[in-house]
Amino acid sequence: MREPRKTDFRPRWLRTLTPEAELEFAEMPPNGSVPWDWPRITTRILMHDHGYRLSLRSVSEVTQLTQKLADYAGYDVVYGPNPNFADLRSLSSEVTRFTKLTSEPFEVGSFTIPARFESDPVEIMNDVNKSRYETDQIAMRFADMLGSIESSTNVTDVSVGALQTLSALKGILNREASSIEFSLSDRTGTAFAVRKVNEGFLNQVRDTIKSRRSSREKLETLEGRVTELDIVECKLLLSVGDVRHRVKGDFSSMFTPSLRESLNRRVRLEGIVERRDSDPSVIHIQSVEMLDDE
Amino acid sequence: MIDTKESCFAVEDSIDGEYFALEFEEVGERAQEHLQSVWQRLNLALDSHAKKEDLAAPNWLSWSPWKWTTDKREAYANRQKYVGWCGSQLAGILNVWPNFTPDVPGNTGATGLYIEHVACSPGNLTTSLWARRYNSVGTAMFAFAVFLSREQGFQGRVSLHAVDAAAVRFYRRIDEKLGGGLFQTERQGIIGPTPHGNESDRNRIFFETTVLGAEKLLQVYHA
Repeated sequence: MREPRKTDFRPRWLRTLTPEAELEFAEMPPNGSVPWDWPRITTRILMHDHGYRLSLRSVSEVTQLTQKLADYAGYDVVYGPNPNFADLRSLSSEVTRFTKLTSEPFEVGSFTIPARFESDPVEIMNDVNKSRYETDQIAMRFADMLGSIESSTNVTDVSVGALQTLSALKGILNREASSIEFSLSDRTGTAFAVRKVNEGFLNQVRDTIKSRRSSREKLETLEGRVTELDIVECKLLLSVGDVRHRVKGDFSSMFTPSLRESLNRRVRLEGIVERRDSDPSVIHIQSVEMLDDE
Repeated sequence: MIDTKESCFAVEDSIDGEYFALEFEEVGERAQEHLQSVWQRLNLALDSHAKKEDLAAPNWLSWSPWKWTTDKREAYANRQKYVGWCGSQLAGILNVWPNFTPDVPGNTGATGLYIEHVACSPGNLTTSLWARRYNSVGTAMFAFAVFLSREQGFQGRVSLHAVDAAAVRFYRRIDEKLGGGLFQTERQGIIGPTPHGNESDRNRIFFETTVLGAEKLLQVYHA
């Protein structure tokens, strides 16, 4: 411990002050204004039955999916809403730097994950011209995307990639949480939206995805473990309970965000199933749900 | 540590009345750790207590100096960040902006240091949970800002916006104690150099030291 440097010197006015006046100068009111904050997304995981434990897998999934949602929101800000957009790999590095969320120390006593957008304003060339963007816009778009689903208005503006990312939160809800809350605030520190992802919300997400399917063919569900995954060719192999051969699967790139984490994990896949004899042999995947492994 | 030359920014230990010289440095790793681990926890404890007991929380509880010190945004790149130490205790903070010229009609073009934040640490304020440890830290921090201004070539000129009535009273009292002339005429409507100044400064009273007043203040701490 560093010792304070003792001195015999007394500031001049303190030598002549009355005790009452000395008291006045003893304490100066802190002076200054609160500077701009960073636009932020604070994620709060509400546990089943007020539980006090959470698997690291869920923590990791929530943070990764939150970043992905921010990336989709950032895409919309820069290029405009595109319902068909699903491939985050196509984002330029300047956009991903712009949408990058950085976590602050987690709060004590709850599963609350504060994260902020730290990027300075940027100028990015979109499809038409070079424009200036601020991270407040990403936070706003994030709130709008989830708000559109909540209120079923302008939901056609929400990209399918964002919808898939939201539906991937279902795994955490199945396992451990009753809901996940996103609180949004801007650089003035003003909280402007709270969006809650719970079972009802995810049902709306599922319905929205279903309503966008071109095929009206009958869909079936297969549960199993993904044993091989090729995200370039968009193919996978699925090991299903009693079925002797592994089931081949193909999927659109919009499912890449959800399936990237699926290798060696249990999943529920919905899609058009082709059969050899009575066993499923191929599934053309239309929806993905991660299941609890624990 | 910054060499304060002939000045000694001494503060009084409220326990035994002994005097100790504050030591100043630009914010570094040591200060950052202290702000995150000690200052932040004192804030949290006080905030929780105020909420539980339904007490009015002091305004400075909304401050997060542990975040400001790591702020890398371009908009805040000109902010200079200092801390004052009393041994192992972080006594106070000072955030200043150099080269600020207040934009006022008839301004003579005097440029100085603008004080964005000046404050003693929570431990040097009496609160509902603890008593103040060192006396007169805030005044020493303010005087150090004047010293810095002189060192940076601004002849001791510093300016600030008083955030509330208590701050206005305090700076007027310093002026009185020095026999007047510490500040230029008080003004309103001046916007400071910070990015958020447009939102916060317009209605606040603006204080700006005179060169002579600054010299008088430094004489108080001349050892």
